[in-house]
Amino acid sequence: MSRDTDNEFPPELRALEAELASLVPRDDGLDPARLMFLAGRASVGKPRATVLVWPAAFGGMTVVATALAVLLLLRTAQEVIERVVRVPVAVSVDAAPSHEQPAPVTAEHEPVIERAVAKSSSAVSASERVLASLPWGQGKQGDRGERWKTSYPDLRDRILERGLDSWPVPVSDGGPARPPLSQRELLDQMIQEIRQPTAS
Amino acid sequence: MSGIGPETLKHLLDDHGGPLVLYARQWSASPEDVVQEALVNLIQQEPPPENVVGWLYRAVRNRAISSSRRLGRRSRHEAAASHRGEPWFQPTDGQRLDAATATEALGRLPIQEREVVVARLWGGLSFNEVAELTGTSPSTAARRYQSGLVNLRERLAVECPETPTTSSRPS
Repeated sequence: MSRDTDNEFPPELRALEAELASLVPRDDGLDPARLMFLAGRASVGKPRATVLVWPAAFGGMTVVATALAVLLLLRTAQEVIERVVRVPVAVSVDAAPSHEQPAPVTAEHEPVIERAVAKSSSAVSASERVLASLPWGQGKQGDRGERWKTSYPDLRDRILERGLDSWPVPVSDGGPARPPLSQRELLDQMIQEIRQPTAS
Repeated sequence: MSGIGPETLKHLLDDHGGPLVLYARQWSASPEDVVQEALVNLIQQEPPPENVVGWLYRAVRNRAISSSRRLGRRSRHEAAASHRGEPWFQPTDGQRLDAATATEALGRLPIQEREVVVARLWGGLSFNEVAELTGTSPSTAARRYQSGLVNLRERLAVECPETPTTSSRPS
């Protein structure tokens, strides 16, 4: 129910209403000039949404860039795990000296290796004689398993993995200790074997 | 650009400046500052409110109550409002109601009735607008208005005419 009408009021109240309405409220405290000045200044300086877009975008991007920089500085370094993967491959002794681990000798690979050794005895003898010249390699030529263990790749891998402490201790046969051959002597010996492949 | 231009602001000030000051006087000791801030705030509204006058009264009311609470003297000011020597109305010549007497009688009304009487009688707001302004129903606003008039009549001791001077009540 809407009572937005004066018709429901008693007439004496309507008369009083008219009497009161004749009074004019004071507004002498309002300064129109100052109000216009303040209104003009407010209309000029009021913030607009379009003006705030770029500062807001700048602030947001700055926060994102700072967060990414902090994350970059606090990021833990990825640990690099190196490991040696041994791939069993059948290698020929004729090939150039390989740095890979020799294939394990199995029943399947054994004939191939044996034939390769028979065909190129001169090439094999050059490297094996170097190893055989080592003091601890003496007396091990007949054992094929021990021969692989003391081969150059095997020694290299062992030293790289375990350090110099893994260098095999020379086997003493009770005789007088023979000084190791120098590089020059080993080189001369290899050259001599190459020039006279059948001499040995 | 704002929809409230200087001309509109001048018209608002001429037509509603006094009633707005009187309305703000019900709570605030510095009603002119409250009205001035509300008008400046109106300039910053984009888009401008549909009911500018209603918006102004609401803004004045909120600011006046806030300033009164901030100063911690709302009830004290309301109680002593009628005892201030400054009249709320311009001096009248040859009228039955004296400005000082009307100020005294109006200041002694309860704040709920006085607010409705001022907004309705001098502000020209409808009861729906008054109800929306005060957070009540239109019926409550009308009841408070009538009660305020009755109290004013008793305090002013206005002699009412024997016959109504305006249109008769509907049957």
